[in-house]
Amino acid sequence: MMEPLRITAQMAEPVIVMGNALHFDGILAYGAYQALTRAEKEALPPLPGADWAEDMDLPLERWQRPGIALPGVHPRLLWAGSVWGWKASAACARWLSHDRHEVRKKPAVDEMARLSRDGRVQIDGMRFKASDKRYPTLWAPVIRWYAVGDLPEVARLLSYVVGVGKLCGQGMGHLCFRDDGMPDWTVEPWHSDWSCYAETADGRVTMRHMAKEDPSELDLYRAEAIRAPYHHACRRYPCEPFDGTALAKYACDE
Amino acid sequence: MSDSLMGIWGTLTFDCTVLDDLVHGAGNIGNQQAFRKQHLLLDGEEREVPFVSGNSLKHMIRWNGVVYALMQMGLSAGAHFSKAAVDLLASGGALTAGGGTVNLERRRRLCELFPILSVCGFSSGNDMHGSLIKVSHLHFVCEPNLFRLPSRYRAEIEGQMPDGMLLSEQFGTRHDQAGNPLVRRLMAPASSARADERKAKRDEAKTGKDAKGDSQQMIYSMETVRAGARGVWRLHLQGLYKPELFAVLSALAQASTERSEQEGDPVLVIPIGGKTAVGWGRVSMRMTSTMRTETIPPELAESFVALTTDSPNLNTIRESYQEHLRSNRDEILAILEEAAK
Repeated sequence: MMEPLRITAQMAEPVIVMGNALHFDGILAYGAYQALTRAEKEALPPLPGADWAEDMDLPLERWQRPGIALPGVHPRLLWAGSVWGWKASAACARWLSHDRHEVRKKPAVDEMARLSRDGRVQIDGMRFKASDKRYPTLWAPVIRWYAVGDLPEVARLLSYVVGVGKLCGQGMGHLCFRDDGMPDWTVEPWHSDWSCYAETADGRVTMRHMAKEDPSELDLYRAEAIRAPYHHACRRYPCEPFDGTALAKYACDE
Repeated sequence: MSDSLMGIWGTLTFDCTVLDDLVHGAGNIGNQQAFRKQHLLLDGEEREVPFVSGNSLKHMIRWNGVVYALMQMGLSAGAHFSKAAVDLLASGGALTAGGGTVNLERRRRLCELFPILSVCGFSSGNDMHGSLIKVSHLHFVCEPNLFRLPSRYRAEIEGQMPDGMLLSEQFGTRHDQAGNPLVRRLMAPASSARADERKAKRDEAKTGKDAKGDSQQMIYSMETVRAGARGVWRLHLQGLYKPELFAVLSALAQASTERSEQEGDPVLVIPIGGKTAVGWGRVSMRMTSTMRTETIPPELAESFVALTTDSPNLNTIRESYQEHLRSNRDEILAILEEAAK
């Protein structure tokens, strides 16, 4: 049964958010991918270098708007004269601190000296370059999202997600863990649908990247990804103005 | 018995105790190397909490898993690989080609032949294989960290400690051997003369207190996490097949210097962080597992909590992993070279 939902993550680590406002359908699509069998994962077309990204089948409702073909908009994003996305908000969080996380990439010079037959290695450029990458991080103890979906299925897919944002494999963006060993996600019914817009006493707030109705080429400068995977260029479409910082108040209990 | 379709899912939790002060450098403050810290705002206060990065711990798993596999393959010391293949083994390689067609067959074969690569993830040509483990940071038990540690620590004395109590300071020394009379006998006259010249310049520049004597000893100091500090580290397994699970366990075993058991749980002593070659950073880790039972192959279900202890079923699988590496040695060497191009 589809119903309005509020999703809460108790965070253990700062998050690396790189420009996509951390939409919930992106996180759920990752969970849906993880819930596939290995054979199903291998059957999916790989994303790197691909012109188009297949959609995961998510237990969420969809929004739909009339769409038009524009230069730079992927033709497959338009479906029967419209564009669509999942009813899932961007992250609502009171970001308490901004910091940076450094990752050192040390060339394996010692290992090469012992195991390789090559005479020299260039470490100031090209593929073996030593580097110290810095990523901006955001810290909030609680992050919330709003969606319209099937509660048990959303909760099942989230149980495969231990962290959000970039560099989860190295510990960034991890959630707290409950004593039963599962990540601390809470999915609960919510009184209103705040997935795309929230109607509150303060007025109407846009909760996610929403495709602009009747856009022109002039709107292309405001193109954003409208559904998962948000990093992929094929999802970009002119969008309504969106201010992620305005969502902070929706991270509070009420 | 074959693997479940989803592979094995679960979390290995390591309750850690620092046995020798831990060094994990994050630049220098004055003359002292600072310990790596995370900046958090908790209850309106900014806290700087020391931690060990997941990146360094993941590298420990990757490299020790590779070393174990190469040893099982019976490789002798010497040059077996190109530098690109060593880079693939030691740090996961790099994307080196474009194009929209990925060689899935090679990726499958590489993962099957050399499972530690699929465990830790790798890049090869235009293909990027994600990691099947998510490695958490190691966080120490102290009051600001309680919100992300298992709830049992709230009742313990370390759970009431402020983060500052974790930190200490240690120093090391090194000597300028040019002043050592025994070394002088071995030096060529020209080198000896240059050393005298340098010393004379130093003496000339010194005034006041410094002029009292010429020490050959140089001190370096570093911020450490104290021996006795406790911490929690988690390793999330995300759909591993049995050989991949054994690649992880073999990496942990290879990294450890001591292995024992406490109330049925395996305990590993693993040197982590910096300066482990000179005695720092030994950490005792007691491992417990919380697995998604539906993903555990039946033959592992009963013995899963004692993964690194001797269990007949686990031994069988360990032996088949070792045999796989030995019997496919030539093919493994060839595919590593091909994937690293």
